[in-house]
Amino acid sequence: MSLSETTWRLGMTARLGLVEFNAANPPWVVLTAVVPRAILQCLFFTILGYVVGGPDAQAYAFIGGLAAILTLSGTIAVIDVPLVDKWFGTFYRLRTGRLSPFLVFVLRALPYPLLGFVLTLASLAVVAPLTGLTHLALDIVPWLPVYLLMSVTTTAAGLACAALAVGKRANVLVGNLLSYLVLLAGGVFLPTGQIPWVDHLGMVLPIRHGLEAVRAGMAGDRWLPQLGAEVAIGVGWTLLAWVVVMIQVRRARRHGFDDYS
Amino acid sequence: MRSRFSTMLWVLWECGRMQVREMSGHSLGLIIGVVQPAVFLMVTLGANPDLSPAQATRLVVAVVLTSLWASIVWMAGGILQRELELGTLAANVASPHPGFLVLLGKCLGATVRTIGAILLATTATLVVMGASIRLDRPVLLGVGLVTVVLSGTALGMLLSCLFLLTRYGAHLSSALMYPIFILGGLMIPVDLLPPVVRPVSTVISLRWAQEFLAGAAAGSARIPAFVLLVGLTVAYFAVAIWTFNVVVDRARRRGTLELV
Repeated sequence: MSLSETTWRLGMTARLGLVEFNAANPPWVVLTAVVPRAILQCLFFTILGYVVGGPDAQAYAFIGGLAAILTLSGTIAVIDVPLVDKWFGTFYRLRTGRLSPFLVFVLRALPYPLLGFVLTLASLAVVAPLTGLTHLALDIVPWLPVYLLMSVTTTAAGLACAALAVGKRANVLVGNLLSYLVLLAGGVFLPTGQIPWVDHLGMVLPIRHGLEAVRAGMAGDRWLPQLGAEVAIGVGWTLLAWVVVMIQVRRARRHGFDDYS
Repeated sequence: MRSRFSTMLWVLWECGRMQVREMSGHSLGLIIGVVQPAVFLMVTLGANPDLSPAQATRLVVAVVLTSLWASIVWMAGGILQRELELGTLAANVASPHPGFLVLLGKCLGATVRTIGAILLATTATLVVMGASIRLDRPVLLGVGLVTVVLSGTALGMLLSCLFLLTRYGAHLSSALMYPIFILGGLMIPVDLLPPVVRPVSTVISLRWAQEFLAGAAAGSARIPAFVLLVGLTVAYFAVAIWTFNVVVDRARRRGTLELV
């Protein structure tokens, strides 16, 4: 393949991903159901933070809640990317195509981190005034690129879990489970150092190190090492997704099954 | 020959049993019934280890009822929609038994199974975390729990009928969950909310269940809360049965029972 041909294929695949995303999540559904749900989820955890631990816990929960809603797109919705090929029986066309199936999945998953970031922006704009945290919201604004990074790493983890789950009909379980694990161990609501095994679990999850970077940066401490750890976690989940998809392709070629089993 | 009453009980039992078996393979039931209460408890109790047993008890009751609401919305609320998808709704309403009996039995089965899972997950989480709570009036707690099951069943029937009227049931489920988490007077006390939205919780039976159960656990009998819980439950049942009959009659008249 020439460079221009490869670029055309990559562009067409990304465009297909956008069309697919719009079909599954039309703008009116995103505006009337997905965005309000994300805002309400963030609002719930922010107020709950106040109930459990007062104003400090509320501020902690707000910063974390803005990241937790990234899982709505990054771990739950992104499962649709490999799942539609199973439903429509088109996986054989991916594995016999010119582009690697993993690359096709990645390109088709591109709208999901963007959706996650939009959910964070909407929640920041609505929840902060409702809870009297506008000053904190302004402090968060310079750190929004870190939230975008967390959206990408969360989508990488979601894609890896989707690849693992879709053949076992466990897509609902795995996507939601990852979302709750992030809520538990991602430093979203529960500060680190409270439950040791939860801390260990959080080390390998997306969002945890990114949130540590945001909190450290806002406190004026060193934040680059935590940011590097978040990038490393994202790369690790991407590699896992790549390995799982490659194994599925090899199995499909050997056994002739195209249902990711 | 079976009496009418025993036949009704048999229908309820079989429908409940069928729903429990159907849910055993449903991963969303595992998430809502086990994972959600365990995670909610760990993050809230873990975030403030200095909570007194009375405060922890109130929080535990709130987490149980919050998870129950999520389960009602996602599991019981979708029962009629699934009957429609599987093509069994028409057979149910054309059977010799009243159609709502099937819905009642299935919602009861769904609620009993979910609350059992939530209580098991809650107990296991409390043991793992070493948290202590108060259970001062076990008889009242038992009575309250049975009433909560009936109330959850009634709410499930009502939502199931409403979700049947739209093809966007999943979006409605998603939209209904967090408003009640926030406004329902469960994990977030009503007095923390703006005065204009406080009345919302008065028509949510789980709010009164929260007050009664938390009171019973702390050693007091809050009878007015129990009366409101029972009253709202009866009202939910009445509205659910009326809605069910209206929806089915309309579908029969239009000949759209398979489509509703």
